[in-house]
Amino acid sequence: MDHRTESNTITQQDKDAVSSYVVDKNGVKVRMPYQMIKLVEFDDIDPKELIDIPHSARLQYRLLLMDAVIRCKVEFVKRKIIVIYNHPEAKNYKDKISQQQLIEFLAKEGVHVKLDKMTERDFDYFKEHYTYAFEPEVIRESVPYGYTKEEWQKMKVQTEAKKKEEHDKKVKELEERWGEGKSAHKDDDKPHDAPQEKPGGFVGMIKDAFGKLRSINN
Amino acid sequence: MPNNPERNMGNGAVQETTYDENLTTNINNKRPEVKEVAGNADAQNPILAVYHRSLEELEKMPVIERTKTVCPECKLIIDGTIYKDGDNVMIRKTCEKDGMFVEKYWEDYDMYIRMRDFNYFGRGLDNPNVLLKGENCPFDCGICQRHKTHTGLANVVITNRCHLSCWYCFFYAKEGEPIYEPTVEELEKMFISLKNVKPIPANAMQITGGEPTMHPNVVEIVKRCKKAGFDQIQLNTTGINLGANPDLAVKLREAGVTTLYMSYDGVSKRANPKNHWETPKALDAARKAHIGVVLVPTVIRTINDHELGAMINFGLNNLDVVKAVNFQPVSLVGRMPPRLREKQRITIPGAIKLIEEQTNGVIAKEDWKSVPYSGGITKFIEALSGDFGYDLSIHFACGAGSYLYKDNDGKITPITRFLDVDSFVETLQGAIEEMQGKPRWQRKIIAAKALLKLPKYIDKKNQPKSVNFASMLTSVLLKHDFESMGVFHTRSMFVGMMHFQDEWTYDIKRVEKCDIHYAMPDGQVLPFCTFNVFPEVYRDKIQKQYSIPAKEWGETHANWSYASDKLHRDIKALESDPAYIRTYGQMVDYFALPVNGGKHVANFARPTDKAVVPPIVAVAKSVNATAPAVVRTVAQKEDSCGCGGHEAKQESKDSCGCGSGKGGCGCGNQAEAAGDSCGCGKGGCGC
Repeated sequence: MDHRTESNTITQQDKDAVSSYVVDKNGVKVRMPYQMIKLVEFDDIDPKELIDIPHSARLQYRLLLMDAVIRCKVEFVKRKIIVIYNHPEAKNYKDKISQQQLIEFLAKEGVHVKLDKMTERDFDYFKEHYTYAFEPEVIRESVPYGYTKEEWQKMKVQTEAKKKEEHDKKVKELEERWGEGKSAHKDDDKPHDAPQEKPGGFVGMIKDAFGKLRSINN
Repeated sequence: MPNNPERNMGNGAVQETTYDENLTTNINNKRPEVKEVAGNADAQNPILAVYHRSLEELEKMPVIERTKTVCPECKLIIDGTIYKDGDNVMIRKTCEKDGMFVEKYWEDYDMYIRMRDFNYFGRGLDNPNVLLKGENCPFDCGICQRHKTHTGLANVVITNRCHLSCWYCFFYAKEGEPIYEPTVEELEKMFISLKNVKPIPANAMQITGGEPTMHPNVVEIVKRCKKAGFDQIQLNTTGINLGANPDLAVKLREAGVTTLYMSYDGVSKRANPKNHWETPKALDAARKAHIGVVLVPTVIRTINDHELGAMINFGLNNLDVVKAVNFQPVSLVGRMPPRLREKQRITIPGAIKLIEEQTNGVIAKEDWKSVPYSGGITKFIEALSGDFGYDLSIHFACGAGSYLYKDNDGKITPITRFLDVDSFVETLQGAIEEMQGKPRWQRKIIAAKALLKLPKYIDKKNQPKSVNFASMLTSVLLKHDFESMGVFHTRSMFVGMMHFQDEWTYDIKRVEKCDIHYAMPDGQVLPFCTFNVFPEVYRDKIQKQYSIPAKEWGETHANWSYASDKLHRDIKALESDPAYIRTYGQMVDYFALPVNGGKHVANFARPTDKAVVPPIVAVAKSVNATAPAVVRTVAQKEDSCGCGGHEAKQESKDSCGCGSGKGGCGCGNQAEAAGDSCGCGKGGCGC
């Protein structure tokens, strides 16, 4: 359902869906648009249909144009297409697409997938996409300019500990500066009122009148 | 519009049509031969002639290099050829289906070759957010392991609500669109994620939007950002809300904002209908809060390119609070007629040349250096400190800058006139090579020897009278006394250029070196030129996933409506405000002083027929009393809110329009003609 084209009435179910929050490992409550969605992998694609890497990239772009496709990868060399999509049974009110629609779309793009080479599984958006993106693994290690790897290994622990110590000290100083009792900061965590220029004279009078009318109507 | 194109309609539907190969499918492909005939004005116009070459002429143009780019129509990754056309550097690309596209890449061949010397690869990211090799770049982003540069400036969008409706902007929530406004906790996660980037985490953050001061918790957001470890926090804002509420500016400063990155498209009302009237109060608020301001003009040819010198002059007149003017040649996203695009295209050298003309040569094109120029300095510091240093390894064509110093007599001197920067950088590079493989104590000796050579690169004859640069450097380096440097800093102003790409100038080699990165709510990190050039698969797509429908937003936010967010401006009240009269009425034209050439900057003051030009006021005391009086007050009455620029008057109907729209700013009827053409991404650049 596209909330822009369907009825504007939002049901309690929709609110529950859109308000689905997840608490991450640090106890932070975050809004999660998707939870359990699907990952489908089409293997053994005919390379003539993918044509080459640039055409595969463009196919990837065209797949990504669909709101229901969250991520995808068209791998020319491996002759594989991986699509993470919001399937019709998913518990949210975002745009949806079925596996069949995906296959038809690919066919229109000139790529005819083999159903026996297709695998699909559930994809946990929070764990596999979101959490990974926020906590990516380290794939290599760089060394500061002018130092050898061995030198860096010796100084690394000390350097990082020193940086952490400096950071903690800064945070402590900041908290003291912003601490309670300082009148300038007592309302920092509350929503602020950022007024715009209020027009005076006739314009201001009309605006106030309309504002009052709106609140009466509501 | 191309004939019979195949169009992806989204949502899986593709419009298939017949395709007639005998017809040109893209009007850009029509290349009339250049003939000396009357009426072929565009082909003979030196600025536009480069777009009107025949295929035979194009094939003869010397090739500088080849790169990978995308077709602006179908997004196929295709080969791009960067070639020389007279004084211009152009990019040419041919799509098998959509034809050939030619666009300006860099409007000065000599400057291109000079700046190309400083181009190196950075370290990239050791923990990319997506584990992809990036063979489908730029559609594999998130950020992938192919990326060559760490985050130099992090951007986080905290809201898509804005109180303006600028005709060229795509960042703000329009009527009916969902509201994107993450919570404080969600934003904090993004800050921490950026600080966990390895090996070099971001240290500078730009909080952007929409209009970030519309977020009710912006002060708390800044504090969380500061606590996460960002030393430099910029707020990308129109300044309007801060001008109306200076206490908010004070709170933001105390929370950690160090710079206001403020949109400012021109000195006159026509060039800057966005915030011309509120800028004086915004500057006063910044003064009260002790926040530095960076003025950020989006430069569009035929719209505000005649006021570049005037904007620099405006900055110099407010040097107590304006620390930089960072020009951003427009990035033309969205559909627009090719002719309009050709007329409005301007690149970094194009703007630099205009600045040289408009400032009487005071700021010459030789005074500008590319951003990676400073790469040697960061490596030098890194080799000494043993800690990873900021690696400004962006592409040389992305940005340039210079420093100006204002002396007691009003003389404006770029730093390159009295500091031999080239030799200084060469000395450092020599020292870096010498330091290779040496133990730490020896590296320090080599570094000290290099630094002690610095004073000989200072031209004492040309250095400003009010500063002893050699003595200042000695104090800083040997005595660690920074007071004199502070004095230097208060009298200097950075002028910069940052040109973001669009689909016509897209160069994948530039994208993989981009260091302005957006953090997304789903954990991904995206370079500016993927985030904004392909918003349909990045910015708009991801923000929509995390947005709240307008109806629900209205239910949870009492008395909210799109209209209630919009600015209502009383121009008469603003124009009679003392801050306005003082700021615009008592400006000194520094470039009209004899020491700076003696000729007014273009469009310094434009009295209209209706206005009464106030009498010339005596020169301010700080300026040389023997100089002719140059202070003029700007005419009080001008047409409010119009198309920018005197030349744009003719163009206004078929070009970008900012008509007399609602709220005194924004899209009027002319925006219909402009459609959704002409864009310049926000955040990182100002719109």
